[in-house]
Amino acid sequence: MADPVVVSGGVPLGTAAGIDASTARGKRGRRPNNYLLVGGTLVVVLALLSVLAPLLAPADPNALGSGSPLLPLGAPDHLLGTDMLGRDQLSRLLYGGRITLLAGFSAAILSAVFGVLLGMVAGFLRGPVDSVIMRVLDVLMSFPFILLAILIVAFAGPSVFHALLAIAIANVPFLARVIRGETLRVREYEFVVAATALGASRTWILLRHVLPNVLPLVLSVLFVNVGWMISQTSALSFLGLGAQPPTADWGTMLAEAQSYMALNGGVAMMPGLMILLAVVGFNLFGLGLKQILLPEDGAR
Amino acid sequence: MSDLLRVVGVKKYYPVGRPRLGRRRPLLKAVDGVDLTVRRGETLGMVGETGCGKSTLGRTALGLVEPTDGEIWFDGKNVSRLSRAQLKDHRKEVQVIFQDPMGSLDPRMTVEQLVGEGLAIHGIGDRAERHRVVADMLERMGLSPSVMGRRPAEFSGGQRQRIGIARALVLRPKFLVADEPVSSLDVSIQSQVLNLLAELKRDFDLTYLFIAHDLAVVGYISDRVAVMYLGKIVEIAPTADLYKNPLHPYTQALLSAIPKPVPGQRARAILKGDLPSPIDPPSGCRFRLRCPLAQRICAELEPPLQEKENGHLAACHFAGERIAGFQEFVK
Amino acid sequence: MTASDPSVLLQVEDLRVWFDTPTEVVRAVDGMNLTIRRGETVCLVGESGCGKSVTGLALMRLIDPPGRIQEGSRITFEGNDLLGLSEKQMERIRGNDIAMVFQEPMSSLNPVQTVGAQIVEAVRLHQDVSRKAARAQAEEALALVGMPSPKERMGNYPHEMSGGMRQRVVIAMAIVCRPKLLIADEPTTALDVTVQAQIMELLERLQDEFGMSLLHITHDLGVVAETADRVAVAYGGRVVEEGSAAEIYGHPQHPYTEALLRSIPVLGMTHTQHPLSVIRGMVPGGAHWPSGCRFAPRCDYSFDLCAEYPPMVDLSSGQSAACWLCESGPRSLTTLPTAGLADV
Repeated sequence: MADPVVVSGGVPLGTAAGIDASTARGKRGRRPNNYLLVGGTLVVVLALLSVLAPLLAPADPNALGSGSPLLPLGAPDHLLGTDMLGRDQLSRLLYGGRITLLAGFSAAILSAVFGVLLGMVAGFLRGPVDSVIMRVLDVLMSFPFILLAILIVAFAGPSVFHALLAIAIANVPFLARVIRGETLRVREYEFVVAATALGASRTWILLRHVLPNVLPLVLSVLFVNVGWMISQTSALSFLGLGAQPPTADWGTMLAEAQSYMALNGGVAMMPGLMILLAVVGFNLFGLGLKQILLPEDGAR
Repeated sequence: MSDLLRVVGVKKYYPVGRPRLGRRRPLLKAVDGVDLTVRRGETLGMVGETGCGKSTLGRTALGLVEPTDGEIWFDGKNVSRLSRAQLKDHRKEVQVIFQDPMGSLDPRMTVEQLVGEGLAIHGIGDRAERHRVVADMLERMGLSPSVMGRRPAEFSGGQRQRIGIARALVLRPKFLVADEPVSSLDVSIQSQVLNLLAELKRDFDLTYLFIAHDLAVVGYISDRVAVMYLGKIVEIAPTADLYKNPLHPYTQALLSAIPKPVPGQRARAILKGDLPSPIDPPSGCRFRLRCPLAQRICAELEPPLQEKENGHLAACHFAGERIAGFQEFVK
Repeated sequence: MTASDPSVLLQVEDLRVWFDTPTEVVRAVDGMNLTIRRGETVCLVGESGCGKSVTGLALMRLIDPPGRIQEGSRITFEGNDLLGLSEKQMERIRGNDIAMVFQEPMSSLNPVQTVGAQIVEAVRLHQDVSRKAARAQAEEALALVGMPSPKERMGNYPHEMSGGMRQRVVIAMAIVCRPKLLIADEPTTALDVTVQAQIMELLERLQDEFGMSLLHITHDLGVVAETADRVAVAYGGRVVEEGSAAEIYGHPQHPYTEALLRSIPVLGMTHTQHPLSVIRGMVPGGAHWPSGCRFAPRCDYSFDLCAEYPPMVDLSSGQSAACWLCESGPRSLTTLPTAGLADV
């Protein structure tokens, strides 16, 4: 009747006047958000390492022979060893990380911007605009993800920028779909009708009502997406389609590491490990963010 | 002109189901030919059950829904013919309050933004002036201006409803459509909001279209009441006349079915069957399948809405006859 | 009346259901007392936050964590302590001896099962009968609840039916094993008024036929007046007034009951001639019950004694109210607005 009913196991528990749903979920309580904690730590650490790379790196990452080749982990002056060409791995990882993380993040933002734009417009306007946008995106989606990326890079020429652009474009349809779904949900709310009744134009409603209500979903999906983008841009670099020598990101380092895997296993594992940590970190952070921004009790 | 709103021959049909090649989709006839006038300064109540079309009619009158057929005239202007700019201006004159106080307020906006949105959209006043207007309006609603920075989730249902009313009135409309404004509220809060609406009508010189399914609530606040069934008005009369002397059998059944808080009274006139779907209304009189008075003429000829007594219109071939079990309950 | 009184079907004493949230304890039901006799209709009436719905669930032991029925609560059904039963024993009672019907039929019905299958399931949970026999009972139940063409309806899915029909199905499921007590939590609130009348008439008929008791939980004072033998008015997790329908509506004793009756519009009332009175303030919510009388902050008659919670005072043949004003006898009130209406 009046207040929303709290449900437990499908059985109505009573009205929210007596049991505040959001309190029950600990929104104002002290329940720790582990995902946010662990993921956030990883993300922050990685970000700091990247930003402070010039200060932290003991050597020039591209300097050949700054140490003897294939030094193991823990060697003096070369904490993470050296590769076949004698380059200090720690420095390479730090500088490489900048590129990988930046590429992943930029790709995520780029695909988010276009995904939100297209998804919101399609979902809000419906009709022929919706159909056209969605069909175009469907075509894009029907290409295998990596193939599409390779096609774009092959067309434009290999570079980090093209790689991240390709990954971003390939990912737009997925994001647009999600945002479109959310827009469809939000536009059914009566406050959209209320705004129309007040005299609001459709642009006003899109920017002032739909976007702010869609944003929590975007933000939480964004960070999970960064993880995905990192792994995909690294994949392209691994294939030689991303960063070109002498610049290296974790993807190219992973490719190089293949050749001395048997000789210096510990050092060879590091790029892969870093990618893993980055992806896991951003994924967890995104999930944690989702828990805060989109509480499950439907009280959005 | 004393008629503020004129609804002329309005129909609203919705095609049902997915579009099929070569075949016409069945139509859901939410509103199927309604003529109505609302006089300046009056409160017209509209009652009916699910599927009767009262909400759709309300939204059409507001210009939120485009009618499939017919016209809406407001204060001498044909609303259906307005340009975009003119329509935007028109919106300042007709406003709406909704049933669901939670869904009709954007959860991400503050009270100040919500109530002041109308002013912002029409570029009325600068920030400081709007702030003042909003504060005044909130006070008028019995809410302290200090709550302007809060969000809807922090308020009770009754308070949210007041915020919604404040939002509607801040543009100083002439006409207000109240679409089930108290149905979602607790019983003791309903009286607060009803009294508030009555006061505001006087103070702001408003005209109301009050849509509700609760006949007691509608009767309490309305000057005239229209009863809708399956997309058409079946009876319309001044409140007292309608309740003392309902002419249409559906009105009688409705009145009889309402539980009254007087012990010992039982619903006696019980209709058979369920509310039919507006997709395929019966031929002739739509009510005939549930009507205890139905005769052959009812299937052949749809009864027009006609004046049977002074100011009292009904659409029935047997208007005035009492259905079995109906008892007068208002002396 | 003691628990061994054979006419008493269900006795609730000092029921407390508290909900543990991370920040506070919500005492939704906080000392509820209720007596239901065989064949009787008891209406538990109140607004949101009074604990009536939670009480209904507690009677069926359907309270999940973070809610918990507190120690010291007693629920006695046919002389047996309901709270002491094992879950398995309780399962034999639910749907069989005590059944429940909710407000929203759509959420009580499985959307991917036919209506017939669901009623059959209800039968076979409690009776060791063949599928054929169960189907026969299900069909009979549908006929009993006034469903037109019951045999055909057995094969329908819930979404193919109207709200009123779905509610009939839910009621059929509930009564198919002829329970002794039916708990109905706002069974007609979501229905249109003409359908509501049909369902109320149905419930009355079923009661007459089976001698079933009905605990009708609702906020609608009109429904209560029409159906109740006895009325219990709930506020603040407790019953604040109890009596027959005639007593409660004719001369309500508790200020909350009186205020409620004065604040609802009744057919025939207009705002110019019968202004509604308003209960100031709001329900404080189960975590913040005031000490002393819980209605006092909103009451027009409150005075110094109200700082202490008033005991339930017996006033006459059965009417009782928890108010200090009633200590020295029943209150007389200025005429209620409902008194002016025609009475048949």
